[in-house]
Amino acid sequence: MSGTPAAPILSIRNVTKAFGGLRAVDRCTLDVLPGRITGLIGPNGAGKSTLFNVIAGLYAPDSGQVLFDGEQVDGLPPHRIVRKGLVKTFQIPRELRNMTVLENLMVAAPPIAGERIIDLVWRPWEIRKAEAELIHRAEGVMESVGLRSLRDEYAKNLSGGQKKLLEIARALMARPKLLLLDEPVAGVNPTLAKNILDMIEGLRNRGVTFFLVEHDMDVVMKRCEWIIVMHQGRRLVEGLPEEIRTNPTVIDSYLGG
Amino acid sequence: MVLQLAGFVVPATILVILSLGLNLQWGHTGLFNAGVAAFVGVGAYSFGMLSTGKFASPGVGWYHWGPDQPWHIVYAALAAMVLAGALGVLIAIPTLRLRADYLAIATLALAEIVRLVFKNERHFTGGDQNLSFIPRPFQSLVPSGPYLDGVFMLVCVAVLLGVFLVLEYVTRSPWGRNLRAVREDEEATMALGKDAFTLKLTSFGIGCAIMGLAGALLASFNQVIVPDQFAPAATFSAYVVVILGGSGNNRGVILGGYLFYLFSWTTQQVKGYVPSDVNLRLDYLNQIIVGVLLIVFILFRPEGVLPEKKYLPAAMR
Repeated sequence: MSGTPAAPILSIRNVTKAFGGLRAVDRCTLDVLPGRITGLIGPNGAGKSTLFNVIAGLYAPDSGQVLFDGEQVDGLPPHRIVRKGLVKTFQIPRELRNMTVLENLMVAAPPIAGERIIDLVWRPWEIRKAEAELIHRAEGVMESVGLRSLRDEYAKNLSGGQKKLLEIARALMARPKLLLLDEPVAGVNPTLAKNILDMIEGLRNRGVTFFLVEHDMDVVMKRCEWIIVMHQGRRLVEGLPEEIRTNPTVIDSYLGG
Repeated sequence: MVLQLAGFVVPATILVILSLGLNLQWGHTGLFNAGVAAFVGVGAYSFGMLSTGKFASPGVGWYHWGPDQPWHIVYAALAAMVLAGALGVLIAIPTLRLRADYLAIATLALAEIVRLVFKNERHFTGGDQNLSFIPRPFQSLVPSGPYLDGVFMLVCVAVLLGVFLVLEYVTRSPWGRNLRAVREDEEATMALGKDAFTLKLTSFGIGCAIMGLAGALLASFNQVIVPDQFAPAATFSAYVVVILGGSGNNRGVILGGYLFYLFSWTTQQVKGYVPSDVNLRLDYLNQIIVGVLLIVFILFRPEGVLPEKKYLPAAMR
C-alpha cells in the first residue's frame, strides 16, 4: 500500500487556527492520499473538527495553507470549495428543517439553471428540464442511501439516524472527490452504522476519497486504511491501523495505557 | 359606493404589496428588515418628486427637487422601485456579512434617518410642508372623483396580481429553494455549495424594490406625501400581515393583508356610530386586539392562516 507514491489529494501545510489564546490547530501538516479511507483520530480537543472546518472554508486559517488537488483553497468561501469537489458533513446533522428530504438533496447539487435571478429572466425554459433531471438524480441518491420512502417528508421529522443518512446523501449530491465526514456513525444504531460504513466502502471503490473523524476505535481500525493521530492541534503520528494500535506514543496520548 | 370601496381596496392592496416584499425577505429568506417604512418612503418620495417635476408652490415659496420636466408615471414608478431596491442593496452589503441581528439594527436606524431627511430637507422633499399634486394614472382621461378612484383601484389590483405572479414564479424556482435553504441554515447552505451572501442580497434588493413600488402607489393614491406617514408603525403592520397570513406563503400574505386591513377599517367605520368617549379609545383598542392576536398566533399557530406549502413534484420514474 505504501509502495506507490500517489500525489496527495489534500495537503495541509503548517495550518494554525487559534480561538483567543487557544491554538485549536497548531502548525498542523498532513497529507491525505486519493482513493482510500483515511481516519483522523485523537482525544477530545485535539483540533479535529476545527481542522475540518478550516479545510471546508468555514474557518479561515490564521496561517498555513490548504491544497486540494494541488490547488490552494484556503481563503476561498465555502461554496467555492464545495464546487471543486471537497465536501464536508457536519458532526451534528444540519438538516434544512422545514424543507423536504428531496429539497435538501436538490439544494446540495451543483448549480443548475434557475439558481441565479438572471436565469429566471433570460432562460426560463431551461429551468423545468434542469429541475426534472435534478429530481431524477436526487431520487437515485435517496435510493442508494435508503431514504427513498421519506422523499416528501420534512427533514425535521427524520430520526437521528435518518438525519445522518441525509447528511451523507446531500454530500453525495455535490459530486464529491473528497468527502470529509465528521463522526459519520456517532449515535447511530449498529445496523445503520454498518450500512453507512458499507456505503462508504462502496463509494471508495467508485473513486471517492474519504477523510473521516471517528471516535469508535473498532470502526476506525476495521474500516480505515490509513490513520492519522492528532494531538494538541498537531499531527502526532500516522500509519496503518496495526501500526497505530501498537504505537506506544499513541497509546500514551490517546488509546490509554 | 365606488368611493367607499376604493377607500378600502386601495390602501389594503398597497399594504398587501409591501407585505409581499417583506415576505420574500423574512418569510422566504429569513432576513429581518426592521425598516420597511424607509423603503416604502423612498419609493413614495422618488415617485412623487419625479412625477411632479421641479415644483414651486406659488405664494408659499417652498419647492421640492425634481426634474425640469415631470416624468411619466410609469417611469417614475420604475425609478421608485430601482431606488428603493438600490438603497436596500446599499444597506445590505455591509450588514449581511455580519450576524443576522445587524441587518435589523441597521435597517431600523435607516428608517429613522430616512424619515428625518424627508421631514427636514425642505428643499429636497418639501419637508413637513408635504409634497403634493402627485399625479394619478389616467387622470387626464377620467374625471376625478369616484371614477378616478375606481380606475386607481383596478390599477392597484393589477399591480398586485403582477407582483404576486412574479413572486410565485421566482420563489418556486431553484433560486427560491436556495433562499429557503439560507433561511433554514445559512452555514449549512454554504457548506452545500451555495453562495448565501448573493442569495440574501438579491432577495433583499427585490423585496425592497417591491416595497418601493407600494410606496409609489401610495403617493399616487393620496396625491400628497406627509413625511410622518413613514413612521416605524408601518413596518410593524407588515410583520403582522406576514406572520398572521403565513410566512413563506404569498397567498397567505394576501389573505392576511386584506383581513388585517378589514379589521382596522371596520374600527374606523364604527367610529361614527359609537359614543364619543368610546370613539376616542377605539384606536387603542384596535392596537391591543392586534397585539393579542399576534401573541395568540405565535403561540398556537406560528405558521399563520395559510402555512408555507410543501414542495411536492411528481416522482420521476
